[in-house]
Amino acid sequence: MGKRLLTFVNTHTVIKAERALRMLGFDVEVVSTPKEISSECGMSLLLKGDQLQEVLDALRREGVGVVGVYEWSQ
Amino acid sequence: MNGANERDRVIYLDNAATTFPKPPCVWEAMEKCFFQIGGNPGRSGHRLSYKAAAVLFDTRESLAKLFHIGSSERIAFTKNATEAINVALFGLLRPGDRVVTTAMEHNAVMRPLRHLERSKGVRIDVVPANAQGMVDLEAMARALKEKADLLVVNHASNVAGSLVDLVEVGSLARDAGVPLMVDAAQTAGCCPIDVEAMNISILAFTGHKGLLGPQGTGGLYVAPGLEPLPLIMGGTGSNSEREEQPRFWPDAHESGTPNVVGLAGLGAGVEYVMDKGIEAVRGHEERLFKRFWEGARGIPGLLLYGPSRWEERVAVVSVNLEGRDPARVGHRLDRDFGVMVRAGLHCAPSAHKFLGTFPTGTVRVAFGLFNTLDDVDIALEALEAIARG
Repeated sequence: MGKRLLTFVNTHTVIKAERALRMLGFDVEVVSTPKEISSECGMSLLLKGDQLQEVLDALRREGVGVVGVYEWSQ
Repeated sequence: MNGANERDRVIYLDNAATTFPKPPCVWEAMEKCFFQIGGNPGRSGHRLSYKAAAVLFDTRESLAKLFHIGSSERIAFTKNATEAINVALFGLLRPGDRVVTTAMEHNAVMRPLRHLERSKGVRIDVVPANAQGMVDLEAMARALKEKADLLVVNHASNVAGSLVDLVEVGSLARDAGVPLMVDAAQTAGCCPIDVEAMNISILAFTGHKGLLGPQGTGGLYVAPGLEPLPLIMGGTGSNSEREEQPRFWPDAHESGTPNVVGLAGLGAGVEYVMDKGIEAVRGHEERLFKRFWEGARGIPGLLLYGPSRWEERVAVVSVNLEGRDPARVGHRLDRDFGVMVRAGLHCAPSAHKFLGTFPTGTVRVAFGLFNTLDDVDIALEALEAIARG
């Protein structure tokens, strides 16, 4: 599985997710949302590792809502 | 008339209007934001836009920690407490709603409420206070026996300095099933505020007083389940493909580019207050108040307003010199002694009526974190000299 892009409703939630996931040791990066993704906001979170389910579970536990998950192609 | 030294010095005792000075960390944070960040938060995906968004995120998180707010996204930034109060009142109240409020409210609350009374038929019941400015909580309990839609309470009077016991008021609101809205303009950063323990559903605060941030900053917390209609709509950087205002927080109430530099300063101010500790802040202000109150009682013809017990008040003290116009007393304090206070009516006509100081007003002496006992003594000497001369 390749890298995944997670989208959120707003920048506040992107940063909340980023901070929470980094604290838990996940390798994530905030990136500009690509044009082809109909996103709620201009920033998304790039998940570099192959741990999508763990990340989604962690965000659920933290009360952070994810809008969409996309495959990332550079 | 005093010499040049007295005229040139600055004894700033107008901290209820805005605190001065601010700690260095506040302007340092603003300088860093201005020169090294500078992006527009949430509008773009580049690093400086991200860093600006992170400034807002950090400030929101600090405020949530200070006020024991579970989800920081339920805090929307405003330019001051007045704007926050307007967002809540205009956004929540509907025709026929009944509001219970107090005689000690600032015009930031009373003017929107009176407008809503006239324009939308919102009903308003005002709970009285005593001559010291203490709100009658038994009367409040009676007022809440009739169905009410909102209880609006000023945590501390900007005229009398009198506090409302939010634990007790929160309990009254819970028993009555009425959302409690608190105007914390005079208390955020100076007094403990815990939205969970005090059952506060709506909290309006300003950033430039006890929180030590710059002017032009403030905010509104609204508990989940209450959804005010936005007062201002526009671009938020989110939902950009749609022409409808987003409903999610904080975007719903933060249209247009925010005051990022100011909010960087506010975040630093909140952290400064939390490092110091609210109890330490309150302890410092208690020492200043007690020195002033004791000294002022010995000045002939000086009238003191508000409660004498520290437990019932903040360090905002209204005084008058018998038979003297407060505006002239305030002017002489500044011109001849370098002591800066606010004189006259303090945007709360009902509070002045209960204190017996309407329409002339009072001389308001308001101490802050950076005042010293020497400042108090200089103010007392100045008041005594004016009283005698």
